[in-house]
Amino acid sequence: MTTPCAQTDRLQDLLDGELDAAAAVALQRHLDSCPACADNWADLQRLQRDAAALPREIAPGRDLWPGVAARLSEEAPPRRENPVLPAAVMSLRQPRRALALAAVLVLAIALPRLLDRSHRTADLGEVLGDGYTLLHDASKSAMKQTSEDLSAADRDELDSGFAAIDEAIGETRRALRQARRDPSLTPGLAAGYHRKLDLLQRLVSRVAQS
Amino acid sequence: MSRPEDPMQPLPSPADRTETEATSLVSRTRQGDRDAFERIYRQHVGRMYAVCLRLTGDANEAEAAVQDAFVRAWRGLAGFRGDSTLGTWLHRLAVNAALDRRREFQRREGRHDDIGALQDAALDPGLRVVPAPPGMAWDLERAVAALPPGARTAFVLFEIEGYRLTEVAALTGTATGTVKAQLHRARARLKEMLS
Repeated sequence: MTTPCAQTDRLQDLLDGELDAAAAVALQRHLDSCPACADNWADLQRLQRDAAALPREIAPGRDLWPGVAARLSEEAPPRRENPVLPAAVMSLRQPRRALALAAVLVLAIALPRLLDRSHRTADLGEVLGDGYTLLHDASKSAMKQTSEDLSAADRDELDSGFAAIDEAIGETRRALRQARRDPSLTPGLAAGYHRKLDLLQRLVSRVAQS
Repeated sequence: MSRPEDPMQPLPSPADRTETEATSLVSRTRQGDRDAFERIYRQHVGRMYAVCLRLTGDANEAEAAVQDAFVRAWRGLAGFRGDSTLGTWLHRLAVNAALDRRREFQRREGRHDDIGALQDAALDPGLRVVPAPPGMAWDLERAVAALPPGARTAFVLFEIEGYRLTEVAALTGTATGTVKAQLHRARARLKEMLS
């Protein structure tokens, strides 16, 4: 049995290419003289090779299409462009619908700009905080203004959808507060905002079509 | 009678033909063509089921996640702008569906989110090596399925599916450093289980 070595923990950084060139060369040299690390290194490389060789496709144990098709029968067909807003404009008959639509329109214009700024600024929290507040207020407003026009099932679905998205956005924002300059977090937050915007657009669509 | 091919024109590559077919299927699906969508399903279900099965570690959950993903795809095809390939887009939908199902399961069961839990992985008694069932040697697939959820997610998405650490962080809504710690933990566990 080989003796544990203090350098062992750094082997995974070497495997992932996380070490700078000098550190990588030094650790490679260390491998020549340390049996424990050499064994570990061989195991890690084997694990990586085996993982990469696993099958990319696995057939499910049964045909899942009938289940998908059954669920699609309750869905409206997808549409080419997002015609939600023009259709909604044509069918607006009540002031509250117009208010809800206006909120979504404002978001559709403002959100990409906020997200774009968030990629370029070091102060992510400030910009994303603005975007979050705007989105949060608009979604609450739209829900309030349109809730009378929705069925109970639609309301439940939208409520749970907003709750799930808010939870994801909240988690990412908390992570951002701990690592404000970590740019890798921004796409996750952007995805959360876009999901919420999509849901808002569907909300307006349903109300407009009701 | 078909027209003779122009010998000066290069034949489309298999990748081009695949892309052209995908574009056609997406277009037909957007018009409500279920048959076209079923073709998309048949072409991609194996890849999507594989990642869902590895992320959830459970065949029933994986099947449900794949179905969720295809329903989301049906709804979302209107917004698919072709910035990524159809396969990549569907794959991400499958990953998100699998992760959502796991979060929902944990919420129902009142469990802590595995991402946070994994930050304290070193202290977690649940992270002891799972003994192999009697008479059965661990193979890599089974060993991955036996990993704690957060470590499994990191390993599957990074090592098997080829996402970058930053992409895994974005998909799971956690910090890159946490994903890296989960990945290291997963490799250490797998080495133990497979040795």
